[in-house]
Order: sequence, then C-alpha cells, then structure tokens
Amino acid sequence: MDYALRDLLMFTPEVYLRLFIRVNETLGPWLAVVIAGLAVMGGLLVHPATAARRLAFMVMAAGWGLSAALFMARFYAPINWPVGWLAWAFAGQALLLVMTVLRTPPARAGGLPLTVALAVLSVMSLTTALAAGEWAALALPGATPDMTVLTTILMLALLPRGWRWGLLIVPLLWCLFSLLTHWALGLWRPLGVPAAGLVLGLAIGCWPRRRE
Amino acid sequence: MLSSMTRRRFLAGLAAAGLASRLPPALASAGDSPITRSIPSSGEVLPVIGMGTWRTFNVGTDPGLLDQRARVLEVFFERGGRVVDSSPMYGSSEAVMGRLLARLGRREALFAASKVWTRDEDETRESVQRSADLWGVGRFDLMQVHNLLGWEGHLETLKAMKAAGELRHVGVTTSHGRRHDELERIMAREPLDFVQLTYNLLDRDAEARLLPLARERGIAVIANRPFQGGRLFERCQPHPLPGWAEDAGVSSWAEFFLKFIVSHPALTCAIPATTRVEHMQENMGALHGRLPDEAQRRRMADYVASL
Repeated sequence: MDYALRDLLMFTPEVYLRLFIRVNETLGPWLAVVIAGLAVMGGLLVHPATAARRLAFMVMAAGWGLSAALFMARFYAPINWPVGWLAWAFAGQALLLVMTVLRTPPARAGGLPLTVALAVLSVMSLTTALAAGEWAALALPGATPDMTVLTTILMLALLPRGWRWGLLIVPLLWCLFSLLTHWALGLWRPLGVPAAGLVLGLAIGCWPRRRE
Repeated sequence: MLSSMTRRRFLAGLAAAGLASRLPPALASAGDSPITRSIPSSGEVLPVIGMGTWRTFNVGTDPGLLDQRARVLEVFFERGGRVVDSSPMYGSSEAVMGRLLARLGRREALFAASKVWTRDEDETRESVQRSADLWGVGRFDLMQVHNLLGWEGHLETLKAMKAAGELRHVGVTTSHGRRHDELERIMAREPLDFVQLTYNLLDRDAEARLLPLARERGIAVIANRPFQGGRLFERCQPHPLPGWAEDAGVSSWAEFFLKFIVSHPALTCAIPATTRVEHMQENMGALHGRLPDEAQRRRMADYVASL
C-alpha cells in the first residue's frame, strides 16, 4: 500500500469545478469587461502600431493579476494550500510581462494564426463547462489560471526567442502543477488545457519569431 | 468492550432515565441500539462509526456546498454518530466543520478529533489553539500527531496539555500502512489513548502486530481509509453482495466494508468520509444490527479477494 497521486489531493472534482462557477458569479457584469478585453486584445495584436501590441500584453498581464487575486488567492488557495504561493508567482509574472514588453516590442500577429488561436482557445474555454455540465463553469482567459497561461504562451511567440524562456518558467510550472491536479481529479477534458500549455510552451520556447 | 444491548433494553433504559424523548427520530427508527466500544484509557463509550473529513469537507466558503455538507453532518448526528476527525492538512475542512457545527448547534454530541500537522515541534500549542478556534470548541476530545510528523516534541506537549486538562485524549496517526514499525515502537513505550491507522478489507497489515499490541496496551484504535479511498467500491460494487451477507448483519457494500473493520475486537471506531447524504445513511447503517463473527470475517475477506 502506498500513496497514489489522488491520495495527495485534499478536494473533490465537484469542489474544483465549483471554483469556476463561483468566479464567474463573483465577476457578474464584469465578465462582459473580461470578454471585451479579450476581443480588443485580438485587435491590438494585429495592429501595426507597436504601442497597440504592447497594450495587448499589458491587458494580458492584468488578466494574470485578476486570476491570481480572485480565482487563486480568494477561492482556490483555501482548499489547496500550494496555490497560495503560486498566486504570488502569477502576480510576479504579471509584472514580468509588463517589464518585458516595455523593453522589447512584440511582433505583429498574422491574421490566420490569430484566428486559429482564437478558435482553439474558445474550445478550450468550454472544457470545464462540459465537465461540470453547466455553462456557468466556463473558464475565461484573464480570469482563470489555465486559460490565462495558455493564451499567454501563444502570445509569447510574438516576442524574440531570447526573451521567451524567462517568461515561460511560471507558465510551464503552472501547467505541470495543473496537469497533475487534473490527472489526480480524473478531469480528463479540462486536463487538455495545461497539457496543451506544456506542449505549446516547449515548442514556442524553441520556435523562431516571424521575420526573426 | 462491545455493547450487546438490545433495542428493547436500550429504549427501556432510556425511558427509565427519562431520556426517551431526547432520542433522535432516525435513531429511534433504526431498528436497534448503536454498536459502541469504550475507550480503554477513559472508559468513555463511542459509537463504532465516526466520520472523516479528508477531501469531503474541504469546500472553502462555497455556500451551496456548505449547505450540502451541513445535511451530511446532520444525518451523521441524527443516526447516532459522534466522532468527527479532521486535520489542518485538509485545507478548509476544520473551518468548514466549525461553521457547520455552529449552524447545526450539535457540539454537545460531538467527539472532536483533530491533529497537529507541523514539522516545528515547538508549535504544538499554537496548532491546537488554531484548530480549536476553527472548530469553535473549547477543548478537543482527541488531539493526534498527524502521520508521526515531529511526533516526539508534539506528543510531549500534548501529554502535558492533557495533564493540565486542556485536552481529553492524545494519540498519533499513520495512513496508507506507512511507518508501522515506528508506530509499533511508539505504541510500546508511550502512554497513548488512541492510534489511528489504515485498516480495511484490502489493507490488513495492522492485524499482525499493531492491533494485538493496541489491545495489550489498552489503546483505542481508529481505522482510517475504511473504503481504501473508494477503491473497495470500484472493485466490489459491480458484483452482488454474497447470499450469506445478511447472516453477517450486512445489507449494503458500505456495511460490508465497515462491519468487517469494526468487528475486529481491537477496533474502536472507523471513520468513513462522504459528500452525500445517501452514502452517510448507508455508512451509519453499519452502526446497527449484528456484527460478523470470526468465521464470517474470514469469509468476507476471501470473498473480496476473489473479486
């Protein structure tokens, strides 16, 4: 007899999926602001002006802050104590994102890759809702950690390769932590988000920037 | 000591003591008296089915889930349960228990058991006080050293707290069958009131040395992971209960697993955990009726091994 991964988790899948519902309920009308922010961010990333693309990264950094303060620190950390520490890492990542884009401008996103990325992210946002059987459990980038991390990893492809690895440490650590958590909970569809984050993070860490 | 009181004698005794009107309705209709064991060191009598909170009561501040767990806890008390076990390790479980106990107003029935879970052996008192504040109890009925973590320092302080009347009983815990050799050494030399260990139909290592030693030393035993973290249900539930189960006093798989455990003469209490009212009702079914004898226990173990 020995510890299995699921023996180390102190909460049930039901409680975990309720976190998404509670975050969405708490945001209430502000959810519209998060969704609008995501839509605007897409437009900013294809904008020819460097300042616009920098602004898109800053909006994403705000999403890291929101995920850390609301989802992680307020709701998730009380049932899973390591998340309290990881929330601080998220706050640090938000600052790092801002400082990085102020020093190096992101490249302009291509229309087709952006469309594909938005389609993939939209599907990924549904995985928690499908697992919970409720639309209210939708996981939005900028409000929930897995989707925030995955979205950011895709955006890092727009930065020079030399800058990416420093910005990939927290996302990759989170993806590993989240992957193991979902595995232990037996939540296979939502597990796809951190799994995709890990694979894409490693790929994007090595991928050259457009026109680099 | 196993209580063999019949329902009629139990009710007659209650009536004589003027307590019949206080009998919880669910217990009154349960069909017989609850099966109890006494704590060797204090003589206090406990029902053999308690409640664990690992995973199940770690729901944070979610109002919907708090309501649901309140119903589970209410059924536990209504069906005659008393022992509730938790730990600071279980996330928000202690805080949740405190909120629900205050809401239900059932602290008088409670036998509150928690743990000290910190490497810092100088932090015992602070840990106990934090847990007491979260539970909303003046003093714990049982305080244990979680998984033997820093047990030497913690146990010394817990013993001093017990001597000063700040705790009623002290103990140590292990789980998953780990560190049994060390646990055996501690049981042999320390004046423990309780040990908590993993014992179920699939994990029976404790039968060899620990359970006989507990009887010899007069230590009460709490069995954790009675369903092996749900794996016993996964293994057995696709199959029907054997035809002879009724003779062993068993009418569900939950009773099958729990009555196997609490029919061991060294056991004081098993602490299954659940999130669902209907499962709590099934678990508490094991608090009533017959217990399997030794031959039936062997048959139960063989049957589960064959599945």
